[in-house]
Amino acid sequence: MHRADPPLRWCALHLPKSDHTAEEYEDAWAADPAAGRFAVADGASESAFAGLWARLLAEGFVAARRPRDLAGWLDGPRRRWSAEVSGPELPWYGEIKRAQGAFATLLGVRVRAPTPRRPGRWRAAAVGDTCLVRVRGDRHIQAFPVETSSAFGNGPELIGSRGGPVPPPEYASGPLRAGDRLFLMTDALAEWFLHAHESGRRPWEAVDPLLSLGRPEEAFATWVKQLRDGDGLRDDDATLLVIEPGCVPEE
Amino acid sequence: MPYTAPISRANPTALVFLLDQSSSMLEPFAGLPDKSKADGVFDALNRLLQNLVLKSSRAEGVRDFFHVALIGYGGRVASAFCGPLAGKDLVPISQVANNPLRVEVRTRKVSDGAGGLIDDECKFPVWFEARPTGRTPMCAALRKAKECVQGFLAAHPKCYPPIVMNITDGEPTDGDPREAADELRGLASSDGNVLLFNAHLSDKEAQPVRFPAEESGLPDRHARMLFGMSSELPPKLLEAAKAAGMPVTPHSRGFVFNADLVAVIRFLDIGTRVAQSVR
Repeated sequence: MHRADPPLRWCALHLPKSDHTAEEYEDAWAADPAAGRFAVADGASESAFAGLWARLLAEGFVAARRPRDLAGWLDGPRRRWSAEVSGPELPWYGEIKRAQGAFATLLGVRVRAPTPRRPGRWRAAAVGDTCLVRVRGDRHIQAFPVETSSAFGNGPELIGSRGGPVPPPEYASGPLRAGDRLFLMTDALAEWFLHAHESGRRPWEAVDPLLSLGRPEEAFATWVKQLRDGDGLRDDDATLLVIEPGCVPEE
Repeated sequence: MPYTAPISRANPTALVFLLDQSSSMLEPFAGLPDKSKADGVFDALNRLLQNLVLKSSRAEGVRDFFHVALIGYGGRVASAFCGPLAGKDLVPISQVANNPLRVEVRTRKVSDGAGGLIDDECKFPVWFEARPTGRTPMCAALRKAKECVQGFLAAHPKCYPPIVMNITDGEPTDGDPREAADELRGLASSDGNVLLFNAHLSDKEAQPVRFPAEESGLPDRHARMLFGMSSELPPKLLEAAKAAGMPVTPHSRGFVFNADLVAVIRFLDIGTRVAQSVR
């Protein structure tokens, strides 16, 4: 899915864990390019109905009136999650899991494209370890909220679907120039990406050719499988959303 | 590198629990005069099975990341599952999930959010009941575990190595178990040797010895024997033990001696921590 929504070009690609079906994919992404909003979420596999919750969170960010105010718009997605999972009688373990709720990370990004006279801007809010990496030119990168590959762990902050306190989001922002690219990635892919960069490689160069192909989904699947087999990519759901802000012509 | 195989539906692992059901298990735990060792272990193991099921369950059902055996040894050496699974040895976790003996409703106190406590009902599935009787045929139990694991390894040669956890309160009455333990630990998948962890329960108020790395400092011959039978904790479990505040060092073994109920629960939790990395 490679779309040009001037002044943004963007593309979202994903692949479930190996030996898993498309229905078992538990990350999610959402986009409103006209509003310059994008979100990626990672449902915690151990929780029930996590893929649904990740999708509601990503869509919630993109649609919220004040997306930065996470606690302010979370009630809606939580109600929708409850409504969608309530109903059928479940075995004892399903009931326990449903009562515990689902959990997911969330990375939400707002993008304002640059003009010839002033740089654009990206603003991001994150709970957990779904990452944004901004690449400028051939080497300058900025990663948020996890900055190095060694900082990924097994216990990221998560947002629950059943109420309870919301972990305070981390916020970051920065200028956006023509030619910059934003890579939004769930943890396994982000960890690989940062590790490759730390090893002196330019992982974004591997992504570029995927996006220019006629069927980027297939190219992405092949590429991710190769990385899992031979380049240390953890076998987890993989989601990549690339944003290339073009330049808005000035009136 | 051994002990790194991912645990998945396509490549599950086996967890075998050996449970001493000798009559001495009817005696109370140290510090808990109202709770027999058998009852304490009964609760701990049923809760552990519940947690394994919850870790394996997804929206569409339970994924078979594990095959589980519960072997009791006392008057006889046999599957300790009761109800629909009675008599079965290694069973996929989905069958465990769907075939408890019964689901009890228990009440626990939880916060009412306003500084008080209210009763909360929760479901507590039960797969076996403690029925201690007879002596401690540990050698036969280890041989039975070997039988279970051997069949599993033949079907899953690349699996994360099966984990056997032995919970006992006494000395074996059917000979020296070291040979049977060696044979069990001698079995291997392509990812490493079978892991055997031992927990010795205490009815005396004595300081538990948790995950020792050396024989010196162990109180007696029996403790040294169980230590010798126990596998070293592989790196991920060592990390888990460290994170749980256990005094571990690089060669720490999966062994606790003079364990009270808290130490047994920790032992079971750390020994099965591989469940955290299923996918």
